[in-house]
Order: sequence, then C-alpha cells, then structure tokens
Amino acid sequence: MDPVFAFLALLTTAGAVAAVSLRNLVHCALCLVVAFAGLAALYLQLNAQFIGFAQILVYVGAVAILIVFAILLTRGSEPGNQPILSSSWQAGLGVAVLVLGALGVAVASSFVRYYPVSPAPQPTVRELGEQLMTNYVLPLEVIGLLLTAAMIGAVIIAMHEKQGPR
Amino acid sequence: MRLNSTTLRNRSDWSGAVPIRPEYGWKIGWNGGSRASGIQTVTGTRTTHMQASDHPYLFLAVFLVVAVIFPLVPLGLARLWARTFSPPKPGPVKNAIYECGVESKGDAWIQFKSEYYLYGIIFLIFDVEAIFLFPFAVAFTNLTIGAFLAMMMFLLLLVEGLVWAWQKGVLTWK
Amino acid sequence: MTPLHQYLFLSALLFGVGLAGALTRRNAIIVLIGIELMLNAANLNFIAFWRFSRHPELATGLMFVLFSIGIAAAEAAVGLALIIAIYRHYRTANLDQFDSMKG
Repeated sequence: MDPVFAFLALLTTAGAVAAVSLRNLVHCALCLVVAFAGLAALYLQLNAQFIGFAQILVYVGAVAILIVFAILLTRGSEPGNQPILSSSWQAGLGVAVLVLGALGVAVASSFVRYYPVSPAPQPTVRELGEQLMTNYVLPLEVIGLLLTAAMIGAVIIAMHEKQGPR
Repeated sequence: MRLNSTTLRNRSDWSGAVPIRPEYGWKIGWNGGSRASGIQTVTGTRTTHMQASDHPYLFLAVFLVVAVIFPLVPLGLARLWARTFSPPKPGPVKNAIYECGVESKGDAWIQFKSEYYLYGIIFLIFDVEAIFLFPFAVAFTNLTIGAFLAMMMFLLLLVEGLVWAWQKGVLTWK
Repeated sequence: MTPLHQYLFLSALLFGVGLAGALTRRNAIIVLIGIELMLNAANLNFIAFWRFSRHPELATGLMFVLFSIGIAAAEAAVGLALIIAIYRHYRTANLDQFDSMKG
C-alpha cells in the first residue's frame, strides 16, 4: 500500500470517527475539519486538483464554519452528563454495520479489484470550464436556482421571529 | 570526472536524472495550454530541485508538519517547566473564578447572536458560486456569447437572492 | 499508485462511519455531520472512478462532484437553519425530544 495513501486514509477515517463519536460538539466540528482536509488531500493525490481546492474552499472554509456557528447557537442549558446516544442506537448501529458489511463485500467481490491502473489524467481548469459552459449549462442554471432558493429559505427559517417579515 | 550538459542528457540512467512522472506534474493549468505529456527528463542545474518537482505537494506537507511542531514544542516545554518548577497545589480559593471586582456568575459561553449564522449562510452560498466562477473565468477566452449569457443568468439568480436578503435587513447589523 | 479498490474500501468505511453517526447520536447537528460524511464518501467514489476511467478527458466525475458540492452546501445551510429554528422552539437540539409529530 502506498504510504501517502495509507496516512491520508488513516487521518480521514480517524477524523470521521472522532467527528461522530466525541461528546464535546465543538471538538466534533474540528475533527470533521480534519476529515474534510484529508479528503481534499486524497483528491489532490487522485489528480483532481481543482476539486481538492474546491473541497477546502467550501467544506473546510464554509460548511465547517457554519456547523460551528450552529453549535454555538444551540448550546443551551443542557446538563453535561446526558447520554449522547439516541434511545434506539443499537438498531442504528446494527443497520450501519450491515450496510458497511454489504458495501465491503460488494467492493471485495467486484471486478474493480483487478482494474488496471491507467495513466493519470491531466485535467485543466480550462477544460472544466469549457465542459461546464457547454455540456453542463442546464445543471449550472439549476444549481443557481437551488442555491438562491436555499439561501432565501435558510435565511427565512433562521431569522429571529422578532425581526421577521416587515 | 567532468560532466557537461550533453552527457547528462544522454545518460538517462544517471541516478539523479529521474524522469518527472507526469501524473505528479503541477497541473493547475491557469494558462491551459500546458498539456505536454510524455516523459520530461531533468537535466543540468535543475537536478537539485528534483525531489520537490517530483512531489508538488511536498512543500505543503513540510509546512503542515512545521505548523504542527511549531506550537507544540513551546507548549510541551512550558508544560515540562511547570511540572518541574511549580507543582500543582489546587485549593478552593485558588480555583475560584475571579478576575477583579465582584465574582463572576455563570458560564463564559454566552448566547451567540443568530445574525452571525445569517451572514454564514450568505457567505456559504457565494463561496459555492466562486467555485463555479473559477472554471468559467479560466475558459473565458474560448467561450461563446451564449455561455457568457448563461453565466450572467446564474449570477443574476444569486444576486437576486442577495438583494432580497439586503432588503429584508439581514445585512444591517443590530 | 494506489489501486481503485482501496479508494472504494475507504469510501465505504467513511459511509459506514457517517451512517453510524447519523443513526446513533441524539444531537441533530451530529446527525447532519454524519450526512455530510456520507455525501463526501460518495464524492470520493466519483473522483476515484473518474481517475481510473477509460475516458477521463470527459471529466464526468469531476463535474458531478462539483455539482454535488454545491448541493451539499445548500443542504447544510437549510438543515442547520432548521435545527436552529427547532432549537428556538424546543430549547433543545436532541432528536428524541422533537416528538410533536408523533401520532
């Protein structure tokens, strides 16, 4: 196994496990940042430079910050010694382990194990831009509509009642 | 032994002159046209930079390691210093929350203003817009007028949302 | 170079961790973090398949991940706004106390 890949995979998995298992929510968000950064490094390793930097820009730079804001907004008068697991956590864990097992078996038994390592593609941002503005114009407009709707919706939902519509 | 540049170029088995693997080439491609494939051999004076150009993110990794070590070493030294020269003797008076004046009450975590979150949403949406604008801007010279109009349409949609939020008074700080 | 199936195993592992987090934790924000992890696992799959595909010059996987990042950002903004709104109403972010829709 490639040592760089092994290190990044370990970092990402450890960050992900910590992000969903720690008690302190702020620590969870910080571990999520580690997992996102590890994924960005994996994208760089896979020669998808633009996606790697977009991952850092959007996930590490914005989504993680938004999660920290939400954590700070919702930390209230909770006593510290409440259980962190939901009441039906055994069933949930069982389902997750089953799904993980199914995915693992599917990958292990599929033909991708013997897939040849092809020479690395060299995508340039210019080619991405040309693809984006020719074949993917309609998805681009739909994403624009979706982002606008999401922004308006999220602002309306999160706005305080006092400062509501005027 | 004296090596001139011709002998360097001819002796491809020379231990220093490993070919740059194209899969690791720095290919952000701002100028687009650099799609030179094939094997590029390092010759002459550039052999000293061979390690760095072999792994373009080696610098990043080095910076990361230094950035982790840089704060950790002084912290560890301070911890060591404190452990050897001032052993902990906690007491109720010593652990009291007291800065000056009256004793403080409650937690330091006060309720956070939700205006921050509204700003965060708008920042996130325009952050995502930027990752679509980057490829458009790089490919701009090859694009048709229709593509330009499509991107302006995309921008118009998002600016519309921003104008709406502005009119709602989300951007005014209270 | 790392073969394709190792990336797929890593992606499956991330998906499993995200699913376990989304299904077992009480706090709604951690559930959302789990969902984000699952989305990222899918993105890793797309990039890995694109890297090993026969026609990487079409950049299908890259474009899909680009749009997927946009959708995930919208989802996170709306999801967290919902959690904040529910928190204002119930004064808690714990999922098993949101039971007003229980029959």
